Amino acid sequence: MPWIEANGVTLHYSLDGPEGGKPLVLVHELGGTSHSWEPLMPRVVAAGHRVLRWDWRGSGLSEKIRGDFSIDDMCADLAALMDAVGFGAPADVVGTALGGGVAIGFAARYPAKVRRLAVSSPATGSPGGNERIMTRAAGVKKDGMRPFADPSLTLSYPEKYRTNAAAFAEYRNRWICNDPDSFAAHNLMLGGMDESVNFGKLACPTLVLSGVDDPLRTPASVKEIADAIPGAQYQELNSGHFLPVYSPNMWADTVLPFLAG
Amino acid sequence: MALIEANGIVQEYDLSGPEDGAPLVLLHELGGSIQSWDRCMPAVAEAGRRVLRYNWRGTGASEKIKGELDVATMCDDLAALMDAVGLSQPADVVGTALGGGLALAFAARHPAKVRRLVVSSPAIGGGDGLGQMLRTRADEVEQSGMRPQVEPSLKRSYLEKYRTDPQAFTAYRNRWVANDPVSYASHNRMLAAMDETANLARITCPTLVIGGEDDMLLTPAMMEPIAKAIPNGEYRLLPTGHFLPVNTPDVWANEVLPWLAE
Repeated sequence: MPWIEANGVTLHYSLDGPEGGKPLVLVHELGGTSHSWEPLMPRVVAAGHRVLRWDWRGSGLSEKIRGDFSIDDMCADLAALMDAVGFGAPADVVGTALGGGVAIGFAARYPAKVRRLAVSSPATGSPGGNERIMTRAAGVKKDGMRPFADPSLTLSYPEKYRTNAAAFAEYRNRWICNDPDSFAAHNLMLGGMDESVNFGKLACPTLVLSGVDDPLRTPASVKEIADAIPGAQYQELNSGHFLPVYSPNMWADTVLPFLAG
Repeated sequence: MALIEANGIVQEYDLSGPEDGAPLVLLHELGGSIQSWDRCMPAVAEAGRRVLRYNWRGTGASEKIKGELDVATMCDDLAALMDAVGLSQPADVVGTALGGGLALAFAARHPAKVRRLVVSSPAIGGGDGLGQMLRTRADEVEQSGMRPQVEPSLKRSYLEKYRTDPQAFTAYRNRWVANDPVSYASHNRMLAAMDETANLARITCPTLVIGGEDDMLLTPAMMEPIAKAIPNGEYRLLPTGHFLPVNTPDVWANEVLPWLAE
């Protein structure tokens, strides 16, 4: 995977699929990287998409964050990255968990860059307080990622979805290898976010998915988001918070036809 | 590239070449990563070596560092990684700059794991005023991130005259900027506090120490005494800079691989 400078930072990204393919941007989850999408890449590419993935500022091998980072910064990074890699036409934008919240934030800020939007378990803010997020941010800054891996993944990657033991071990290892300070900055970004004010502005066709086993963004709370987005479709799936990570086929069966529609 | 847990942390590594090839371990430089060796890899593959590259604790996608780090821990990381990936035979160990210092430290602490050793511009400690520069840089990156340091650092370690492949330099610079500043600061402070001088006499394997004609950070005059302090040490001066395999991969391949095969 190459690096490119965009919006004043070095971003690690990849492009897959045919050059003339339908442009698609994949936005990973909090604590994830471009690798989070690996299991579903064969089907995405087979569907004829030209796919842009990137490691968020602070994630994977992208430049790390010092100081504050906001959803505006995150969206500006993606807009600049799309320009830098030649994604000139409106793209389908897909994200999961906080990546879903980022995708929604992006569509509200850069509507001309988005054709269709598909989000699963979108984290668009921290209703009902953000104590867990704030505590985790302070904790990783002090003690690193490792002590927080199991408490976090218990919620986002439930036991019943760890059927592929090697895939889970790899995911957990990658999670632990995050830069704690950047991860904390992402948590604080989520803590400071409230994209609900933007739901009514979204004009593109939108699919909102929830997972019945998602304790972090419950189906009821996700459905409220779908209801607030004009014309959005809503669907509940037998999965969890990181749906595309451990249910790639279910994700592909649902999202790819929507994008083709 | 893969991730594995060894010595209590997750380490990112790349193992390539034929399984029965003569084992070789490559240690990158401060601020570098596995990819620092990319342009040397065709020659390594041609030599039929089984080669292990890895990202230090704190580097690339390896687990990041919180708090203090010492050179013994870094050496234990490598020893545990070699065991974890099945490199049980003594290996040739090659490192550059701080990776060279670590290679020397590793050979002193884990002699049974090393067959032959090649170090270019090895950084073995924070003496000669280097320590202050390293501590200042550590404080600055923690405060302001990697980006403000990239030009001043690479101006010394990756000289203009060696930026002959602009794409390679840009990629190197981007990777450098993307380092975790806190881990990078820990590496700098580790080097500042290090002094491997006394351990050089304990290195028993054949060792080649290389100085770079254009290395202004660790000059040839500083490198020759290191070679002399190693019982089986040999010294060679080559037309290169501080990061031999990065600056001049051809020189590295032409000098290092034949010496290892002797």
